[in-house]
Amino acid sequence: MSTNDIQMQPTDEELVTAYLETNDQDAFRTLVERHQERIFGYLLGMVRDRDLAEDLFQETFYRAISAMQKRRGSYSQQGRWLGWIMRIARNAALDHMRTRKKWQDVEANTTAEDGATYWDRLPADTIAADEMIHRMEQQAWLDDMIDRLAPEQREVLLLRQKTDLTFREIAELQDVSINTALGRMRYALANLRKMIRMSKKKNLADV
Amino acid sequence: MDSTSKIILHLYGEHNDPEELVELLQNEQARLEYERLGAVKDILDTQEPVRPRAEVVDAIVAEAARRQPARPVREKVGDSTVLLRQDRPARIPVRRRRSIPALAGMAVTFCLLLGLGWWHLGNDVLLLPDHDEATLAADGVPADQLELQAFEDAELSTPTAEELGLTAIPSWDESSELLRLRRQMRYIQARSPEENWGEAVVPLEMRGGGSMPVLTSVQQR
Repeated sequence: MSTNDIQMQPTDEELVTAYLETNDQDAFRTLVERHQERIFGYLLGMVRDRDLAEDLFQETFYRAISAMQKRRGSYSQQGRWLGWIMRIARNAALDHMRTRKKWQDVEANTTAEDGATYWDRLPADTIAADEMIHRMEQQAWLDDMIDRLAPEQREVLLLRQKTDLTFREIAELQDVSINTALGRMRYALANLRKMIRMSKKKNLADV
Repeated sequence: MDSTSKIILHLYGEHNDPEELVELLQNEQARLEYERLGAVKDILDTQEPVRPRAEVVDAIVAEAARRQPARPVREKVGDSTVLLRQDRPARIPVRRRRSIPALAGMAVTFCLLLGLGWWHLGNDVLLLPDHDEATLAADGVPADQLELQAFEDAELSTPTAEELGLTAIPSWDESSELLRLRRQMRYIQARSPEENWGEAVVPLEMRGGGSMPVLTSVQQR
């Protein structure tokens, strides 16, 4: 892509305006496709289930459409559109996790016949047998590490790594100070490092 | 902000001050921290981006098309963009129902206005009577008085201020008002022929026929 092409690309706000004022469907599609990896990456990291993440992705955009058309909430075209929709995505993810917690509190720690709990089985379900190539292994292995982080640390890490929001924007999204957001990121990275080292040692020991 | 926070901001490109970074890395512990956190970030950066299935995106775009925004639509006509206002949806006309007290109030007000108008018209007729002979004759005015009245009416038809002796009257005074008063006086005078206007004032007590006023005691009164 040339520099001119990049410069010619409309901003998020221009795309939103085109959709709202001229009902430009292409503009809306561009908007979705531009941010799909960020939003979906974050949601998948939060729920660790592809189908569920797709449902939440859809739910996020349905809520966004309603809000943009003032049917629910409001969208003021000030500030970054990505930051605004990430708030919606986060709420959708948190709503789901709260609901899941309600009916899985009892079941979550129940030990199955094979001795594995729900949490033990969860990562294994996401890795299909035919996807056991090295790269995917690496990906799943890393996802497992991230999943073991404390929820606050994991969310900051996912928001920064997947969505490219700045730490200031993340702090606003989580309603905390920027120092708190940076502190969570620091612990997330430090804990990941520890887990990676331990995992490598274990692998070497297995070999 | 502590050095680790600054290191993280540098790692993620949110602090673009190379001098500050160089200064930070002069500290051995900070340099180690930078390398360790940087190594973890490098591993995280190897993660491939993930996308939802294309059908999911299609479904979202279809939903966005279905929920058409209720806003003015712009359409390109030639080189310019024309704002097309969407038709307002049809609404059932709402008839305002006036309450009974309000209607009664309106009726009373109308009657009052009508009555006031009627009364004012009647007063005007009383104050400015017609001077035609038939009316005066019907009122019992003698014929000679009628002739005099007719003569005076003709005389007063176009009177000047000098004729009326009104030169001393201030400019704000309306001559028409004076004319009206004069006519009224004539009219009253014509209706009371037994009285001689302009005579010396006689006490009421002498009007009975006596030449001298009679003193009456308080008790008799």
